[in-house]
Formats: sequence, structure tokens, C-alpha cells
Amino acid sequence: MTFSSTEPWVSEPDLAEPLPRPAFPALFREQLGYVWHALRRLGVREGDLEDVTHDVFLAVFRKLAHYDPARPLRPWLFGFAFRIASDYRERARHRLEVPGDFSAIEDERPNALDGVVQRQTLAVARRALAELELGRRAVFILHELDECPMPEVALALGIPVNTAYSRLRLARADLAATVRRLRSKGEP
Amino acid sequence: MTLDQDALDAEIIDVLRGDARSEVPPELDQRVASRLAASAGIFGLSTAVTAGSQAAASATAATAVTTAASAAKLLTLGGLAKTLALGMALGSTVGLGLHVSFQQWGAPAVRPRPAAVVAARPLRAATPAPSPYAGSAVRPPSGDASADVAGPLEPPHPSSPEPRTNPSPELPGERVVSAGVGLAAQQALLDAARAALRRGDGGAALAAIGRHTAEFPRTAFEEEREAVAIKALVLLGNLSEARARTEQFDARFQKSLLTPSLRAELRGPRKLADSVTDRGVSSQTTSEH
Repeated sequence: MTFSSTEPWVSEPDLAEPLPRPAFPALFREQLGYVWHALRRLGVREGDLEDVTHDVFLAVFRKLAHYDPARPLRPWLFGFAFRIASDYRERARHRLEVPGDFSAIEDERPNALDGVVQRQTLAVARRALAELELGRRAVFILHELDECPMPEVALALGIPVNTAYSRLRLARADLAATVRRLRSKGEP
Repeated sequence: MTLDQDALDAEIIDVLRGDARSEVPPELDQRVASRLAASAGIFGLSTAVTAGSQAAASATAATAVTTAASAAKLLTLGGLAKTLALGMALGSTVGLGLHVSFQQWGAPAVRPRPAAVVAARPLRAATPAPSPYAGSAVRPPSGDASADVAGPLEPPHPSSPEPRTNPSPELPGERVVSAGVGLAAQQALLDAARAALRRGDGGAALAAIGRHTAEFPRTAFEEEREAVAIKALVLLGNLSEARARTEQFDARFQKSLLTPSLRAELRGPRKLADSVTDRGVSSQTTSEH
């Protein structure tokens, strides 16, 4: 299964008539990859990703009636992923998402990045992302990687817009510093 | 380093964006769909599938799905049901069993899958008020992660059928799976959980136990499964829950041979930090916060 990053929030909703709420099976099929990758980026360990993905979709299923179809779907889903990933880390002391634990990088599965980006660059990028504080990381992922507008980022994470901007600034600085540090050490 | 800051940021961001376009694990959709069906009765996400010979499953899946689709069509035309589950009848063909369940969520998505599902569900009678939403929501096996966001089970769309008020007596949580059904799959999950314990990975152990619980809610391996779960909780430092579950374990499995080892675990829990250090990752534990 591949995951497309194309997201429909760039299209303006038609306000003339209510938008249909997505059916759960279609949502599941189309967004499974997004949720899985979001959780991985949020520090859920590879061995737990399937479990936590299940938890996210269970929560989404229960709350789908509250989804406003006029809003973009993925930030809304990311909000679930963020809260559940946060609980996951607190609950099981899973702060084991570690810079040195990037087994997936050693995975030999076909990867869209193969032949495009050096494996080491990916390792550095993942590691730098993993070292970001979770709240900053969530903002960074939604805005910089998912290209979600900041007001939507703030809404999805339940924080003021100014806080979201502040976290984004700090996340950028932290990420850049980490990348510089890792590369100066010749890591990974 | 020769890159300026902007170039560095752009490169890293490009890499991370591309990383999210990489493939997810094979059959992830099938496994998660199967677990959602087991934990909350959310059917219709995919065609189910189970263990056994992949070749046999592949060879028979198309036939099975065709048969199931025909039967479903007849039932639908007769106004009897939109839900159909075929399991045990096909089991002899596939080996350990092939389960096909589908729901008409607009357009039913029924397609053959070469992989396999773990346990065949009992044949469910057609229900007069079909709905994809089962009347009860079973807690996710992996814990309480969704506690703060999960609310009452609600239909996701106003135009969707009403929630089922008379849930089937054969909901997944009530299934009884004998030790002989899916024995290899059960043992494999327990082995994975024990292996995770040995390497100090309580989270992975609980994950495997969660999968086992989801797929085999009632089984002859419950005693062993619960013991592994308790040890995993100890490993993770969740002693309060470990003690509570040990008390339940004692009450349920009186004079169990596993009780002494559980008591020993509770008396001298392995430190999480030790296991982390063993894996050479202790620095991150504190650096994140």
C-alpha cells in the first residue's frame, strides 16, 4: 500500500450545500497510510504502530459524527493521532523513541525515496524529527510536512494560533540545530 | 557542513515529506480492519482473510468471494440482510479457515486477498436491521489510549443506518476459540510476546498480547496470555495494574503453576531503565523531556 500526500484542503468547500461526511470504510482505506505515518513521526515505535493505529481509527469511528466536513480531514485525524500518541508515550513510559532506534531505516522494503535521497540523509532527518519535543513536532509535521495552514494546525491541536506559530519557530530552530549536530559528528 | 540554513531545512523537509510516501507494512489494512471488527464490531472495512496456506487461500479466495457475493445478493434481494459471514464452511478448503465478511457501505468492497485471517467467525444469521455499527464497543486490546477521545459509539453519518440495537450474540468478544483453532497463530503470538519480554520490550509484548486477545478472546491459552501480560506490565513499571491483574489472575486461575513466577516478578521488577540501557538507548529517555 502506498500513501499519497495529496490532501484536499486546498480546495474551497462549497458552502451552498452541506458537504457529505466521509463514510468510515472509505476514510479507513484512504487515510490508513496517513495515520500510520503520522504516528510513526510522532514517535510510536515500529512494534506498536499497528496497535496504536487501531486505537486511532477506533476513536475516529466513535467521533466521526462530530467531524465537520467543511474542514480538512487530515488535520482532524492528526489531532486523534497526536492525543493518542501522547497518551501512549505517557502511559507505557514509551519515551523510547530514540535517535538510535531506526530499525525501519534498515528495512529493505521498496521505498519511494530509494534512488532519490541518500539513506543517511533520511536517517538524519528522522532522527532530528524524533528529537523534537512532541508539541513542537506536531506543529512542524502538520504545517511543514503536511502543508496544513496554521489556523487549521492550531484547531487540530487545540492550541492558540500564536502558540502554534511559536512552536513552529522553535521546532525549526531545534531541527536545524540537531541536523547540524548530527552532521558535524558524521552521524548516523 | 556547506549547506546554508535554508537549503538544509529544505532538504530535510523534502526528505521527511518523501518518507511519508513510503509504503506501510504489507497487509496492514487487513490486520487493522480485522482488529477493528474484533474490538468494536466495525465490519465492512475489508475482506477478511486468514492463516493457512497462502497459496490455498489465494486459489480459493476468488471462488469463495464469488460464492459469498452471490449469496449476499440473494439475501439482499430477499430483503433479509446486508451482512453475510462465511467461515467454517470454507475452512476445510483453506485449511485453518477463510473468513469473508462484508457489508454494504454504499458499494460493497469484496475482493479476494491472498493472505489469511486468523480465525473463522461463526456463521452469523441474517439480521433484519443491518448496520455497520455493532451495539457494543469492546475496549481496544492495546489499552486505554483512546480514552480521552473515545465517546459513545455513534453512527458516523446521518444518512447511515441506525445503530444496531440488538447486537448479535456472536460478537467477537464472546467468541470461544478452542485451543485447536488457529493453534499455530495463537502460539506464534504468544511466542512473540515472550520473546519481547526476554529482550525487555514490554510494549511489544503487550502489543502481541493485545493482538492475541483481539483475535482469540476466549481460548485455552488465556492463563498463559494473562501471565505474559502481567509480566509485561511489570516490565513497563505499571505495578499497580500488574498487581490488580495478578489478583484477578489468582482468583480466576487458582493454584496456577504460573502464580509463583508472577509473584516473583512483582517482588523484583526489572527496571525499565535497565532494559533501555541494555539496548543502548537510555539517553533519549531523558533527553526528550
